Amino acid sequence: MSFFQNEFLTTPKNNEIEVTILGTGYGESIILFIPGVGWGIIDSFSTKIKTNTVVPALEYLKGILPQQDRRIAFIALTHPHEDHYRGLDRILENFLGVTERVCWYSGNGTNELKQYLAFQKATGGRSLVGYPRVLTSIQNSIKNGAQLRRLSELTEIIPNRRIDIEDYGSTNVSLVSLSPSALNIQKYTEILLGAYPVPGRTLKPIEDREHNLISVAMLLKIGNVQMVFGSDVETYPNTNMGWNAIITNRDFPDLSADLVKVAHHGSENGVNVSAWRKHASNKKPIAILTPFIRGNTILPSEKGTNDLKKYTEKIGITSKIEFETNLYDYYSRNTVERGIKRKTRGFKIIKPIDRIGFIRTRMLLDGTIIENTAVPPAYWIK
Amino acid sequence: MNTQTIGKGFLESIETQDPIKHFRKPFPLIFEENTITSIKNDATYSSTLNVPGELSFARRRTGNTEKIVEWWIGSVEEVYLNQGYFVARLLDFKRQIESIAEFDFADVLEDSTEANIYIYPGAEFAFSILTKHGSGSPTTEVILEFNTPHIWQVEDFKKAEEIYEELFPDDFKES
Repeated sequence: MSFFQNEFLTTPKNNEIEVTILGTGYGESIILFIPGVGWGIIDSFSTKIKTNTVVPALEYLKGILPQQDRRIAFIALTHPHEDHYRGLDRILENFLGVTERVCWYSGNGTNELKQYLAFQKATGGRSLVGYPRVLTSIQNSIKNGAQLRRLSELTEIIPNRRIDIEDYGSTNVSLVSLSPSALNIQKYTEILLGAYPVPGRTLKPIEDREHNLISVAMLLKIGNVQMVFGSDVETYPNTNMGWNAIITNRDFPDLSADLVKVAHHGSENGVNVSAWRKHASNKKPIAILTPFIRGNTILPSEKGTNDLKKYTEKIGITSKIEFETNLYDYYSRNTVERGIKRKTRGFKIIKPIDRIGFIRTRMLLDGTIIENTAVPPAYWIK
Repeated sequence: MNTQTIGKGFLESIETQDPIKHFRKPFPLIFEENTITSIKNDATYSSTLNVPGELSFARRRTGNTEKIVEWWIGSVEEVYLNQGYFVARLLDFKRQIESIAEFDFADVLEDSTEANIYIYPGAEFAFSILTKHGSGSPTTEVILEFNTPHIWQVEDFKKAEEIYEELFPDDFKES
């Protein structure tokens, strides 16, 4: 059974770049086709469609890759957030032996994070559920021939090299990570070390957002096209951290882009205006956002979106977050409605999704856009 | 006639000729001092011990039953300490739907100053709506139960080490 309509499951030509971005409200995944390199996957999530748990990136690739050629050039995990790694173990297992590179941040702080997860489980707590399974799958992939790329500032996922492309000619291609900076890594490690348990005290919780400190943004260059994938990189006051570290990096003065996956779901911290001035320095790019909800905070924020409008040609969002207004559709008993109203000061049901949408852009290597599709519930806001 | 006191905690001892053969116990049974309480999730209550002949029923002195009508697992997402409330995501396992709800500290804790001990982003809790049947009309009860925070002990380091080996076995294999 395919979760995508057949009319959308087409493959790009060998001289076309394809970027497909999926995100249903909790999670995001990017599928890339890079001419002369092949297919790549950045992050993964899983979602429930009726009674099925689906890994959208896997379903998409199963729908379009021919059985005889299922090679994957790289699989990358940008940071240890559940909405970025769920289902990645299934993807890695599905492409075991045919994945060329696995890429993740595995530097300082990684062992401390593993220890913290063990400490938490020892107290009956849970966080980063499923993450150990992803790490095991990464190790299996490496044992079965994939090369490890440890991501941080200036790691080459695809080193700069010359390639020949059918119907185009020769050109250079590179895919590089722009973050995390040394100071980001240091802060992250300090937070984890600070959470080391002390007998007689409760285990210090680590805020989910701290993991954004080691989030990996990437820059793709091929032909005359540049693309930036912002992951969950945020802006911090210190100029040597987050977006400020990226835009002041002497080795990456050119951050102009034809397409940008907007960082941190379009939050105010994710949309760094100085970075966007650079992205829009040649021409206004296409911006793609994945929505997110935490508590009462729904992203993209209105401010983030308004800031983007000045610097973008087009803005797409990969899904809609909607709420059910009528409790009776789900909880038809008076008892339940009374109980909910008595104990809560607000209660809203997140409308379950019944299909997976995505935004797909295909470009030629001179930057000509040949496809810009928003498959519902994905939609364009500009 | 043989007499035997059945179980510990019955309100009154039951004299019986042959207790095991003739008792049909409701399930599950929780004995508390001076009460018999039967709690079931999804069936109408029946606390009757069918005892034939002259043997008396074990009477319930405080005969409350509770029936869970709905329940969710909650995870705290945002905490507003100064405003005195938090926002949580609730998962309804039965229907596989998620909700966002706001709760006042005062509705959850007797002492709101303990909020920062129990309520922090990531803290999990059970949220249940129950009906209670007793004498009179059924009443509705709404309960939020947070886990009691664990106080780290020296022996927990050993436990954590074993968990680490389980979670990350590759770290212990020779390359």
